[in-house]
Amino acid sequence: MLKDYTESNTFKKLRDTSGRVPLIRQPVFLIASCVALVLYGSMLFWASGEGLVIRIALSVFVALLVTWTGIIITDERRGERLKTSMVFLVLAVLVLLFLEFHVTNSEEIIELFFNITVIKKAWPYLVLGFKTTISLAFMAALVSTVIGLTLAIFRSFDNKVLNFFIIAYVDFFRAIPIIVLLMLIYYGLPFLNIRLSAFASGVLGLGLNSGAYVSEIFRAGFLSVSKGQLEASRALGMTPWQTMQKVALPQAFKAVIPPLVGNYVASAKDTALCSSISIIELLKAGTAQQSLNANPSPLIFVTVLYLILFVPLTRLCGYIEKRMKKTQRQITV
Amino acid sequence: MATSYSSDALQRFSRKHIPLLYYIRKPIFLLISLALIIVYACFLPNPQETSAFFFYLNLSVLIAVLVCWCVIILADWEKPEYVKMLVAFFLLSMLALLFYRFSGADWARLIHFFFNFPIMKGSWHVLFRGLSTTVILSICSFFSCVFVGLLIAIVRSFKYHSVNLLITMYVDIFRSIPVIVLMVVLFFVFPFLGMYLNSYLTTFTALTLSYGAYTAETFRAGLETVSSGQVEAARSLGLSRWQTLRKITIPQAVPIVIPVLTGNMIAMMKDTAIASIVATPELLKSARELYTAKTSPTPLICAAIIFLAVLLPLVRLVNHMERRVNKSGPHY
Amino acid sequence: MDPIIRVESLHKSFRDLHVLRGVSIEVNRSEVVSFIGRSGSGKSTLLRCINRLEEPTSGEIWIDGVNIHEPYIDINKVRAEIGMVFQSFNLFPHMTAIDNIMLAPVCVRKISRQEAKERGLSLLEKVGLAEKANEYPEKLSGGQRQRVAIARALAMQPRIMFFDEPTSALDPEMVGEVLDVMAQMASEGMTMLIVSHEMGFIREAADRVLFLDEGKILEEGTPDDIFNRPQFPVTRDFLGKVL
Repeated sequence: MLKDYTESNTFKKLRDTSGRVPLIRQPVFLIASCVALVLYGSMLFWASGEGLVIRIALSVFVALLVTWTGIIITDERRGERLKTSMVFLVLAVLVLLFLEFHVTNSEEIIELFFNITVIKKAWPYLVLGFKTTISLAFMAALVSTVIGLTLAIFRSFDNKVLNFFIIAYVDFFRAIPIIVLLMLIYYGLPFLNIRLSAFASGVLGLGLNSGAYVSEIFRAGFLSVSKGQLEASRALGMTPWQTMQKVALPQAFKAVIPPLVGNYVASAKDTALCSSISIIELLKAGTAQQSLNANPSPLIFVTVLYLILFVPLTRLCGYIEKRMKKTQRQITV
Repeated sequence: MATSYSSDALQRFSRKHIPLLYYIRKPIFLLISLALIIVYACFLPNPQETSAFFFYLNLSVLIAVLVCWCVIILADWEKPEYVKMLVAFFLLSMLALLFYRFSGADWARLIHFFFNFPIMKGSWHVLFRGLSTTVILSICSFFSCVFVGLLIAIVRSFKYHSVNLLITMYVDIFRSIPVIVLMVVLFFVFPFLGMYLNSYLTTFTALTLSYGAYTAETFRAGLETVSSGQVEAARSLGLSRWQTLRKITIPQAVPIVIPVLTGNMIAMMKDTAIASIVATPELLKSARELYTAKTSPTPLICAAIIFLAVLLPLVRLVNHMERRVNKSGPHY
Repeated sequence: MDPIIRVESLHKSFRDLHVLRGVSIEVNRSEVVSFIGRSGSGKSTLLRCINRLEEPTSGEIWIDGVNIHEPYIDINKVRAEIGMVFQSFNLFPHMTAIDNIMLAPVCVRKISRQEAKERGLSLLEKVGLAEKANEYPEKLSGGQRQRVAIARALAMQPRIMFFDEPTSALDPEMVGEVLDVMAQMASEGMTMLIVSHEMGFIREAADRVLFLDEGKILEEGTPDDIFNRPQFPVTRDFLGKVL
């Protein structure tokens, strides 16, 4: 009933075709198509036509190039190094095409975007802005930790009245855009006769907002310690304080640290929003210098600074998260 | 034997000393300390007469003592529930009272400036046009970033190292640049390249690039939650990578991804408010224009209320969904 | 007749862990071969290498005369001919039992849903679970899940079946029902490769037993040879512990 276990067609077919390389994977085909692509590409550079025709030719070229790279990448037999260099080569060609066909004044690009003299002139202001950004981030982290920890502790008492207000607080600040909050604080509160400096408004806005997230993180951390763990340690005769110190906190710490670091980094990124309430932080310094010098180099430089600052931090977050997850898995196993 | 055991046990089980907390938790002590706190609050120095430092020192000491007092009662599981309720109300009202009294705000102006809705007459339609711009922008960018994210996550799951290198670079870069910086660069720098993006397109592109990276990470995390055993079972049946992805991995990842995705949607909708920087006539921008025109923060309050009205239900929805996912537990 | 599976000096290492150190085996048609050995001796890895769920570090594998490491062999077609049953069942939790079974025939073999359903139902009947066709896996017991997993593998009409510790994750009272199904398949002439600790079953059903130790085949013979006259002290030691 199951089946007759005699010769199956699949294997017969496989045996017949084994060792045969499909046409598009054959080196001859790949080299030939590569040569054809290069010819096509160089023709594009020489034929400096205008308008629709060149556009269509260009998109056809890009599509062919991408397909060709796809064939190389999906071939399991090619080495990783070849594939990687191929991808970057294609990327370079695409950038070159972009510069050639989409940018009107590609000759002045260095002078326009990477103008050393302008950056030198703007340097002191950018450093000042950078310092402001850093101090904003630190102050906001401090405020948000105090708020978040307090709220989480009160939340853990499980009191209905307090919970209502804490949930309302958290939801309010999770729902309102930070920039709206900053505007309300900086432009609205003076009407109430509460005058805060721009810096204080920024810290307050960022801190209140990120405090809501921090409180949720701490709460999740408190909840992450399972009841069984607490019962086990109580059953060993440990006092509540010892239980807290030796069992609960180390576990909660593991659950809290990764999202907490992530939250601080996010909140540090949000300091850029403070440029809208006339705090001269990094972004504001960049835009001010750009309009002063009528040259976008400072802004480019600011973007690079943001990248230098935040790429390692973002990676760090991912790393911490991965590590903590690993140790947690070891605990459960 | 039995007697000696019990007497020995009695000695070993009895407390050596009575903890301080035992005395602190007695009602009589709590009542007396409450009276002291109230007296302290009544005799707080007047901010006009003393130095600011002295005044704020006193105020913070008062708040700290008050909070400690409440924590002692709230953390005591022997106290009845209604007492805790009363204490919670007391704490909240005291804090509100202190803020009302000492924040230095001119409360008479509150209604006149902040909730002066009559001046909004005839300008509501401006705000609602702004709202519709916000909503349309966020929906468009949401769909495009889901598209980008899904595409990236799928390509990434095929594990072509060279392509993954590029993808990692993209994700890292755009997760690291704040959206506002991206918008400013797109809007103020790209014209120098001869590329003019209007404000809508700038917002759309910036949000798509930035949240595309986040969404890609979301999808990747979702796909990774599906256990490798599932993939192996599918592959051992002869399903190709693409079939496995479509029939096995994605259907199982969707319920896990959806709450996070909705969270991303909320974050993105909040970030459309940043588009006011590049002169997109969305809700915040309209409110700011009205604010300047009327010299009253009421439009800003209205904008905030509208944002809350749209986003609060979504936030609650995400809370609800997260709770459900947590409850249902992991798949095997 | 040439062997249906031929493995030659297969090596597999995970980073610095050398799991398989040159394994060579031949399996004939309709033969039931059983692998025993301590945990970590490479039994599961061997099975997983043969259908390339793990890429071997070196070595050659022929299945029915086809070298499955030929560059452009479609491994999916090879896998479709090899059924695999896992220790942890790996049923798809978002599908009912019958959908689990129908998935691969419809997707890979491209047969009609109707035909796949008929085949699936008859297979469920065969493993004694006809009434559970529309249940989701979470509603089934461990033994029932494993029987559905076997039916799922059989639905592809494989020529070879791999069993990777099929009863290790089961409660003792459910082991029997799974072994019954396997014994029936063996009697029908299926080629089977079994990694298991159920020595009683192996003694009954297997034609040949291979004892693996530290990634090598230490001993090989009929169940009678291995169980009653083990040659090496390691084998004797191992059998003394599990029997």
